[in-house]
Formats: sequence, structure tokens, C-alpha cells
Amino acid sequence: MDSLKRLILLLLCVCSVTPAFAGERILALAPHICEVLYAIGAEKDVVGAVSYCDYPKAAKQLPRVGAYNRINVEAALALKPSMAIVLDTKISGIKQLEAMGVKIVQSHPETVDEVIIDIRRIGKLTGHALQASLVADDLQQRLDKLGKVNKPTPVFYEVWAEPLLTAGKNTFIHDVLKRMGLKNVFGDMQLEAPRVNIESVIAAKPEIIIIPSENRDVKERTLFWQKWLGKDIRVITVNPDLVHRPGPRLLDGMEYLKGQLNFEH
Amino acid sequence: MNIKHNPWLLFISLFILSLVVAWVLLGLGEHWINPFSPSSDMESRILWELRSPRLLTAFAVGGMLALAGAWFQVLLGNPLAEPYVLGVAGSAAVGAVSAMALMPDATWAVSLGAFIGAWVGIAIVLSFSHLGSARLLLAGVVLAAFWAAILMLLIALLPERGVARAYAWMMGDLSNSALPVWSLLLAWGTALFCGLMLSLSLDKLLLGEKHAASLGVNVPRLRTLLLLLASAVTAIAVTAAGTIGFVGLVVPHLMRLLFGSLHKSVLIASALGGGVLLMLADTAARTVISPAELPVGVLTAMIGVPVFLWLLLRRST
Repeated sequence: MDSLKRLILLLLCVCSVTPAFAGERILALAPHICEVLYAIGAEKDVVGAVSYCDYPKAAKQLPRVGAYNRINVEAALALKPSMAIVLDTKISGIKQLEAMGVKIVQSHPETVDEVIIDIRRIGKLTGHALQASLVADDLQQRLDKLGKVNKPTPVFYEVWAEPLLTAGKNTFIHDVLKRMGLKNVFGDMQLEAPRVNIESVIAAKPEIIIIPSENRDVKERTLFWQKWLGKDIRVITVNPDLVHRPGPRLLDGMEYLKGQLNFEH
Repeated sequence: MNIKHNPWLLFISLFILSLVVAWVLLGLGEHWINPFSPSSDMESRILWELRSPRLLTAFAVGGMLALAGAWFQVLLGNPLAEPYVLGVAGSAAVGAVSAMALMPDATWAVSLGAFIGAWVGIAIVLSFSHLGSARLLLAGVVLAAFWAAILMLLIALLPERGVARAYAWMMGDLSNSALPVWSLLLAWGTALFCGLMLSLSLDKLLLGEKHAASLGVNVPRLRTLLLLLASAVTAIAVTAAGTIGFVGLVVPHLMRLLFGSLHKSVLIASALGGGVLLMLADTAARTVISPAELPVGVLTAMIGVPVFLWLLLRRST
């Protein structure tokens, strides 16, 4: 299934080598899309963004047209875009944009590999193919170099503390963990962000807890997990923007995690 | 001796039933643990530090919601009244979600926000209490709609993961109550005691305000007292566990159907029966799709509604 998806994406890439030219007026309608466009040197083409498009710093100055899941069509059209890159084409307003002649491109990478494929594809579509392929090659090399942890260490990824949410199968985070050779203890759950019971985390016997360091008192969470899983439990924090956003900073996040793992081995 | 006519017998038998149910539910979880003989140190910690505080919280919250429901039903003279009917849940949710937005790191802030929000809602409702039950109810319903609108606005402004947290709170969560268990049990006991003190006046109020007044009840004072009491209890329940629907609506009716409509029996049976129902629902919430958890509010509806409808049908035949 996965390989089929990848094949389709590859085909899409090949098909999408339409005559592209730099100088599109692009709406970047998700944070990772903004990051990709800046990384591939398309920053001059970006005319609008949505909430949380905060990296790189310059992106904070872009006019906002809504959020990743809801856009203001009039504000978007006022920027005279020629192309909109979106996470989900089904959100309201996208149809209207398309009807007004704006080219709609979807960018929704669901695995680490798809992130790299997607960067190349967006490069081609926006006329920045060369720099995009440089960025993608760099990411691929770093990914190849990253390697895996020797044995699949069981990990609990604490997406949220209260309620206790984790990442199930078919999530981006699950794939990131898998690529690093870690075993997501709830990796066989079909739900995307299952709410789990503390008891079931104890029963799953994770050796590492990874906490995205947003909205949480990390010290308190560390004490909490030490209380239930023993003093030896390793609690690692990571900047969620690095590992939750399927964009060019993903490898920064994975390398950081690897550093943390090796450091404490 | 008939249990319907002897409140003490009713209390004792339902209390024993609650203890038995609690003891059995204590064993259920990720693994069955025998509460009499946990086999390891970890198992006894799971029993006494994870499961029992949560069960007792469920018991106290369920009991308080059912009591508040019974009071609101007689206060407003409306069988559809429940603890959240006057918008207390809405204002508490606005408070809780505002706290999530302003101080996302602090878990206690959510409870504080809910508590403040609940009382702001109550204060507004109280200023309508002299208008009579029909207008009070109307004011409450409109206020509830108002709070719901503000809530939608707040949720639209929250970041994505904040939304998950807000919804989890709104569907009820007994796993991390900020209020200590003993304080909830104390509140439960106090509420039941106050309710029993008022039960005779409540029986008279059931006949209508004029009849009650002619029987020597100071109706305006009773109404204000009842409104304050019911609101305070709802505020505590909401602070501890978020909003949990159906317990407050269904349990008092269920208890009336089972034990008659004298308030002494209704209040005793609601305080204990509501507790048992919420313990059952919460245990189901944390075990049926284990290791994942369901929101407890979903379970209270799924258990409460069919039982209630079945009893209604059985009574009418």
C-alpha cells in the first residue's frame, strides 16, 4: 500500500513537469509549505500565508489569509495569487479559489520519504526545481547517514499530556520514529491521535518518553513518568515544529533526537 | 418494611450496593487486578493511586450531578431540567477554554478557569431568579446559547492541538481532576445533607408555589437557596470533571420511577445512584477500547438513555 502510494506520487511528479516559470504569486496555506518555499528559494513568490507560518522569521511578515483549515477567500484573492499550495484541498474556500483561476496544488506528505519527494515536486511546480533538488538531495543524504538505533527501543510519544494523547499508526510521527529504529508502543493503533490510559502506558513498558516541548511543564512530566516507569526512564524533549511539520527542518529534528539518544546511551 | 418508605434503609442498602460495585470496578482495567491481593507493588500502586481516586471522583461527581438535576427539576418545575440547563456548563467551559488559551502550561489553570466561569454564569442567572421559573428557564437557555457562541469563537482561535484538549474537557474527563478526592466526597456529603434538610419543603413545592406558600413554605427564600445550592454543586462537579451529560437528567427520573417521588428518597437514591452510574460509565470509558480511552460523556449517554427509555415504557404499560 505504502509503495503504491509512493509510486503514484512519483508518477504525479513526472506528470507535473509542466512548463513552469518563476514568478508565480503563491499562497502558502500551511506552516510546512511556507518553510518549503523559503528553503527552495521561492520566498519572493510567496504573497500570503496562514496562522503559524512562523519560520523562517521573514515569513512572519507575510499577510495572513486564515488558518490551515479555514481561509478567507476575499483576503486570499486580494493578494492576486496565481497558485495556492494547500494541505487539504477539501477545506472551504479552495473551490472558490480554483474557480477564480488560481492553480491549486496539494502538499500533504505523510512519511519521511514523501517529504523529500514533495520538496522536489513543489520545486518543479514553482520553477525552482534546481534549488529544490539541492535541498532534497541534502535531506536525502542526511537521512541515509542517520542510520538506526541498534535495537528497536520501545518509545512512548506523548503528543499531549492532559488528556494523554499519543500517535497511532499511519501518522507522520509514527513514521519518523520508525525511520529512527524506534518502536512506537502504540504503533499498531488505527486511530490517529488515540487517547490512552496511564495504565496501558505502564503495561507497554516504554524505555523512552518523547515529549514535544509545547504547552507542558517538562520537569513535572519527567517526575510523573519517573514515578510510574521507574527512575531509569529516559525523557527526551523535542521542538514539535521540527518533527510534526513535514518540511525541510525535519532532518534537524531527527538528528537532534538521534543526538539525544546517543548522548544518553 | 418497605424500602420506599424508609429512607434510612434505602440509604444503607444503596450505600452497600455502591461499595460492592466500586470494589468490583476497582479490579477492572488494562489487566484484572484482584483488589484483595494485588500481586506486586506496581499493581497495588495502580489500584490505590490510579484507579481508586478516579472511581471515587466519578462517584462524587455523578452523585452531585444527579442531586443538582433533581433540584433543578423541582426548582424550575420542568422535567427536562438538568444541571447545565441554566448555562452553567457553558460559562464554565468558556472559563476553562480561556484558561487553556491564556496559560497552556498550567493544568490547574483550567480548573480555576472553569470554577470562575461557572460562578460568573451563576451570578448572571441569579439576577433573574425573582422572575419566576418560566422566565428563569428562558434566561438560562438563552444564556447557554450565548456561552456556546463564545465557546465556538474561542475554539476557532485556539491552535489545533488546543482544540483537542478543549473538546476532551467538554466531553468530561475524570482522569486528572484538580480537586482532591476527599474534598469532592465532602462536597457530595454536604450537598446530600443540605438536600435532605430541604426535602420536606421540596415535596410541598412540587404541589405548586401557591400550595407550598399556604403550607408555610417561604417560597422566594427556598427558590434562591435551592438555586444557589444546585448551582454550587454543579460548579464543583464541572470544575472536577468537565461537562458530563445525561447523569443529571436521567438519574433523578430513574430514581423517581424506582422509589417514588418523595424527595427524601429521590435525593438519597440520586446521590448514590448517580455515583454508581458514573463509576460504571467511567470504567467502561477506560476499558472498552483499551488501550485507548473514550470520553466518559459518550458513555453516560449510551448507558443512561436506553435504561431510561426502557423504564418509561415499562411504567406506561
